[in-house]
Amino acid sequence: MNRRRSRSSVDAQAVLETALVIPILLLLVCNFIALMVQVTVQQQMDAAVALAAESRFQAPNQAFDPAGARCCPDPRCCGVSSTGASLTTGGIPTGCRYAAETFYGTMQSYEKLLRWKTGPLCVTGGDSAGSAALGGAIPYAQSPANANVTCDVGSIGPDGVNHRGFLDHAFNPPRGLYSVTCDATARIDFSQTPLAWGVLWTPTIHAHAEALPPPFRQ
Amino acid sequence: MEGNWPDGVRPRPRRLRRCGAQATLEFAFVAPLFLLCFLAAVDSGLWAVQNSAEVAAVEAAARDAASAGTSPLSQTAPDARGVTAAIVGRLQQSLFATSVVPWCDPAKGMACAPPTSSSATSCAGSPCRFLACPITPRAVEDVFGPRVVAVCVHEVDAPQCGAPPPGVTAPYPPYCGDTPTITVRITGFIAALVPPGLGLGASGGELPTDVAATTHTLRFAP
Repeated sequence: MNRRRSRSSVDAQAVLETALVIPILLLLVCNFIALMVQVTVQQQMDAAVALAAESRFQAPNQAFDPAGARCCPDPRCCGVSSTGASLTTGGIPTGCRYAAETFYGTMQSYEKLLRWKTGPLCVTGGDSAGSAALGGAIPYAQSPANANVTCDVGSIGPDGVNHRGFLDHAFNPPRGLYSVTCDATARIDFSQTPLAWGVLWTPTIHAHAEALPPPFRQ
Repeated sequence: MEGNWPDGVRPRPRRLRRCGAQATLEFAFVAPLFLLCFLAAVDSGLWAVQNSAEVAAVEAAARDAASAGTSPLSQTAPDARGVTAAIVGRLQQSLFATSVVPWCDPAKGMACAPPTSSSATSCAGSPCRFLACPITPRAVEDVFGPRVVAVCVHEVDAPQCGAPPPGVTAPYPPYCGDTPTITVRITGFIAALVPPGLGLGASGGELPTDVAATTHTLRFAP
């Protein structure tokens, strides 16, 4: 009687061990894969903001989008139809739209995985000495507020007003140098993937890039 | 003493035999699962390395392709062969067991893609597929075989500006003054440890990949 009980307790122990080890093993693997995905997405976002900031310089300094201009997502940047979330870019520097088109076009691969923290597309006047968000930059009056990327862009408006870009004191100290910065923030949402059961965290990733004007524009 | 047991070997007690069988059964159950998890972890690491290399490559390639081809007056982007040659060195090291090819007509002596004419519908034949980037990784596999990634360069030019009709403000058509956009895409299947039948690739040992970078480029008027 005792021997039978001892054997069944050994069997139960083995089943218990297996029941414990297998989920832990799968949990570890799922989280490792999720970490690899996070690294990859971060790198893609870094590339997207870097190209976006550089794209601004392909537009003339004085160019502003006419009323009714739209972008992102749309057929020109992303090969998909415009949606209700597409950005209205009329009245803001064309360079901002270029930056947005570059960013949205580059970040298409992970669209289903990311939950964006939206903000103004186009801001002006940040300062690296400022402690506020984006160095205290303020949105252009007609900037859309629901963009996945925010770029600090200087320009000369149609009324002749000089909107300053981001003043970075790390360059040409102590006066600083005006540059273009782009920022994007998103949460990686694994709930739509097979990793959902094992990955219980939603990491937030952020990318920041700064581009200096080419020498002939400085 | 030896004569007491058949064959002169003392049989193992039943309890020991049962324990041995149970251990074997446990091992048979856990070993494949452990191996699967181990391969998944290794493979995701390899995938991250390969994907990182691709992201870095498309970023560099987009800058290369946006640099106005051979001269500041050039009106077209460099073709996929030129861009691939610029990045294949750094890419091939990370994409082990995977070939990197330009998304161009593989026939010898042929241009990368047929020359485009004024009417887009006039192109006929299989080389026409190289006029645009492959839509899916499977399209690359159909042309170049398994474990091949293709580098595609696609330029979209803004329409020519014209006189706006009455009541319509310039620029007309909209966005006609825009600079061209260049998209560099690396797509296909990369070598992986995925066993056949898992449904991730067309065949076993590969994973789909599709990485792109888009940027605006500047063209100077000739």
